[in-house]
Amino acid sequence: MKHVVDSIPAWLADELSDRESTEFQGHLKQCQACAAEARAQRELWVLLGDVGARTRAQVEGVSVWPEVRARILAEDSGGGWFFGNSPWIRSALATGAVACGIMLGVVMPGSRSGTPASIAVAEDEGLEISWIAESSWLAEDAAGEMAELWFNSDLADDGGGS
Amino acid sequence: MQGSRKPDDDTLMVRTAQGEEAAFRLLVQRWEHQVQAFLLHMLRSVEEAEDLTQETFIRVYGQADRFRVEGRFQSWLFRIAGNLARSRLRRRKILSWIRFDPGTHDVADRGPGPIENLERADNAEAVRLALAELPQRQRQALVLHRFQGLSYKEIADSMETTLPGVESLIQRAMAGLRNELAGKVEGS
Repeated sequence: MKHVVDSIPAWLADELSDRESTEFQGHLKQCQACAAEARAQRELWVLLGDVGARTRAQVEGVSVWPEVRARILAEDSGGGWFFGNSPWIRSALATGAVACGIMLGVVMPGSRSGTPASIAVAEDEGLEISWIAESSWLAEDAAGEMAELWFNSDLADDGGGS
Repeated sequence: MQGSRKPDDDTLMVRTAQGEEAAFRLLVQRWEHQVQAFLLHMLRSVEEAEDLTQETFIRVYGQADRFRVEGRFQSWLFRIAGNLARSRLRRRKILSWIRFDPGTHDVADRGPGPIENLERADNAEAVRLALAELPQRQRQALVLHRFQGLSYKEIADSMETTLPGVESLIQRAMAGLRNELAGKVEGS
């Protein structure tokens, strides 16, 4: 015989289908252990209902509307709601932020690499130095390539600083 | 719960998104006590429950233009309130660690003082205390169902879980309550 203890809360909550409910009640008639457990849980269920009613009574009569309204107005007047309620504005701002992040993460490392100085040197010495694709910075031998370019140009003594 | 001539929640949300204050006010007044009662059960603090009730409706207003009209306002509302309650409980836990207060987990006032010991004679208070001892998700599911009247399906939506998941949470919550209340409440 399969016990139905696990189904007691669903039965109390009226969440069993008609067929399940019929089977459940049929089992209770035959099984004293399950019937006793069902009685105990029903008492607890009723007690919970009483607690719920007491809590509702505790909060009745108090309205949060004035505070909610005041807080919304305060945030609206102060440019709140993340610069507006429009999802378009929020999306545009989010996209802009992501784009800025990409710029900082991808473009800026290239501009910090001393490229402007290299260009100045190239102009002086007549060397052809092409822009290095960003992906090459990620290649394992990128540092080696840079060092090779550096020494081959006989400019290492200049320090590349000016 | 709602009279036939009153606008439903979805309609009120659409009107709120269009900037109609009266619609939002009606929505707040319709649900505020249920939300506050739910938060009171979750947090056991009147002040915090009131504060987070306000916060819940401010978020509802802030997200009104993104609300999808699907007839599931109640689930969505309690999802917001539940998330806020979870965050607050997490914060309490972190604060209790920082303050080296191992006795305080997610219940603010669970230490049984002399007055509280007297109150324990009251069955309702004993049940409230036992509820506070339940794991947070079990408590949330049970409170949403038994106190706020949400169906298992609505709870599943609200807690972003499955129907069997809700069933299991409520089952374990009832078992936990029975254990906690054994010998404390007449008839338990």
